Amino acid sequence: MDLRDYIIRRLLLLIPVLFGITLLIFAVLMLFSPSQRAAVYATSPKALKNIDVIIQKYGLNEPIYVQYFTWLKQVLSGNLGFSQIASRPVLEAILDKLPATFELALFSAPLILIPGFYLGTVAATHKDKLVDQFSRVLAIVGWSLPTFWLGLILLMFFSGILPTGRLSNQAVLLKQSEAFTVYTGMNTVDALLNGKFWMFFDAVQHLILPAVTLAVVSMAALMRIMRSSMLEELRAKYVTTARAKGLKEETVINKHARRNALISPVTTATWMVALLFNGVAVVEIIFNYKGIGWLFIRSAQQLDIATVLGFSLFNGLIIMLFNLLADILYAYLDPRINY
Amino acid sequence: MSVNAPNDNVLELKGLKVRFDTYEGLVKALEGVNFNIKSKETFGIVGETGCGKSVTAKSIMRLISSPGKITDGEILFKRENNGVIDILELSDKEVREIRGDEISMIFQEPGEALNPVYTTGYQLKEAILSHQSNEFLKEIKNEIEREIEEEDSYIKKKLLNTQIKLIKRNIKKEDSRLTKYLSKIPLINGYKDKLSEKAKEKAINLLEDVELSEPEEIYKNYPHELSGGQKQRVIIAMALSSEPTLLTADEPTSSLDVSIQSKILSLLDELKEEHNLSILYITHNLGVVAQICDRVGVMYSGRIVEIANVNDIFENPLHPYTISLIEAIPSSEKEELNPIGGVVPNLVNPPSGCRFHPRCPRANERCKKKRPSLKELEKDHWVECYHSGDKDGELN
Repeated sequence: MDLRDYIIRRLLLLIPVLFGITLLIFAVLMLFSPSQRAAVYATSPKALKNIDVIIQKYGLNEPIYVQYFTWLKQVLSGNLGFSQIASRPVLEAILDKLPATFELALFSAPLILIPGFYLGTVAATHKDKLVDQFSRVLAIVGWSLPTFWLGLILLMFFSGILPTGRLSNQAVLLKQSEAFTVYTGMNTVDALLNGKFWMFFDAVQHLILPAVTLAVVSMAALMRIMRSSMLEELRAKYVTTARAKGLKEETVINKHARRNALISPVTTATWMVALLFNGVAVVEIIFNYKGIGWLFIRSAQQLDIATVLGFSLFNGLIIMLFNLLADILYAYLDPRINY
Repeated sequence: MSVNAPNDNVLELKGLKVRFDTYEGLVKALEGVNFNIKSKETFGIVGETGCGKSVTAKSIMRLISSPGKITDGEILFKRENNGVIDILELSDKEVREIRGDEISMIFQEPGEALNPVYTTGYQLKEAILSHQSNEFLKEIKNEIEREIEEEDSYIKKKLLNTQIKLIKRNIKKEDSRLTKYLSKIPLINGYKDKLSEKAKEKAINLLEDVELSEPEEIYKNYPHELSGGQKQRVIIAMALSSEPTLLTADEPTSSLDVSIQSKILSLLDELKEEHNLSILYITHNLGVVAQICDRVGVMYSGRIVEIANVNDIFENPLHPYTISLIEAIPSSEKEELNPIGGVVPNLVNPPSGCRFHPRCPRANERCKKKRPSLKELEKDHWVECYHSGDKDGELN
């Protein structure tokens, strides 16, 4: 079977998993009283005023399985309920905050992946040399910094130099003006598409601190994993075979050892990136960066059930997709995988 | 040591010393190894695990990796142009040119010696192209030149001319950035496909040479899709790809079962005749030695302690270690096994004098103090022992 069939089969397998996730979320939902649950079905603030009507309409006093299917029908038709925090439907609220989180992830992911893979490889090929010592110190320090602490320290040192939030007031005014078209919701991309370079740099400035804070721990971890994986492969016998063929050391390392060494770190790296796309709440709160992580924390604080559940559903979806991506990459990198 | 006229030697090792700097201390893996391999002979090295057989084999191609280091000695190798060189004095680049071209190696674990993520075809092609790409490129150049003559279209002619320029640069190994990028452009890198095509043809031929059925299939397979014997044949094909003069075989059959083992051995024997190979065959199995080797060196704790023709080793072993090694071979006639007493010596703090003395039945004070030197006691029969001369002290 080839890779394409494998991908199709895995996509089909997502359906039962998604079903399982909805069951779990519904189980959590059922912990609340009917009147609290009513919010999940409401579509506007007006509807919330007549909770009894909602309870009647959606049969919140019916048996559980009946309720589950009514709820599932709602979810499938795109109604995740009404978010009291954002004063708009949950789906809309999430889609509104999503570009911010994606943008942060897009800036943070390269900061994890490039130095992680690169320094890990270099450290392994220069074992015990200065580069290796340096990268090891960097890895240990980076790995042991708690994210919230690092965020606060960076905030302290760079306050006044690098701003928090997503955009400066000036840029926000531009964004709301008629002349500006919002294409993606990601400020940097939109700024470039509108040809407003100063706004691009403004957005990038706002991204530096949260992106760095998010990247440090994962980057350090990835570097360590890559280093040890590479060291192991360099000891493998096929590396000696490759050298015995008379290949250049560069080819031996880059083509033979690294190709094998990538297999397990790539899986880990996919997870790290998946977690970024889920919105890292701590960092978004510290830097007042209004993404979905920020929305989640706010709604959890206010017991905004509808938003929390919608967020969970979205999280499950992201994790599933990246899990699939990890499996595909794994199968692609390692021909020994039977799929 | 010089047994024969130097001209007859393909390889000669003189006082080779290898050290491994480990946390436990300095491991004295090789302590002055001397032997020579004559042209077109199979020279065997036998010894227990950890005596330095594999280290010897790897040293010849300078494949000892950190923390190992060759600290002393000479490895004299006769090149195809008959010039004798000391491999230890070559630059890394010069060693690379010899590796896989004039000296090649086959390994103990065929399963681990092939890269799991590439097809056997890819790995074979890589071996072929690492030394023969120039030959192929010249052929391709001639083909393209003929094409140009027949070509009418101006643009096509120009493109083909650019290809020839790239080929010329490639042959001269002028790996400038420009050529690297140019050779990636679709219309003018056509010669690369031809190169790959030629390498594939040769690879399939090689797979046929090592008696693999369905070479086309095996070319496409990944190593994990092959059996142990098939993998070892692929590795042998790879080693023979550039017509080497010396083939180093480091226990190539130890991990295979006995029936496949004997097939691989007879294949090696055939290929040796066909390709005029000299073989260095490393093993712990005296049975294999008897089957394939012309001469044998017995290795103990980093030293070659006895060298003789294969018949002499079995019929008239002179060194006490060789004697006990042969006695230790299990056979149906013997009622019980005769293992060699004691253990393999620690290489960080090896025994003083003759390293075998703690396990030797004939050892005396002299053996503990000073190591004997390798002496030719009978014609072509070299022994490193004080006692081997006196027949009275013989064990048998």
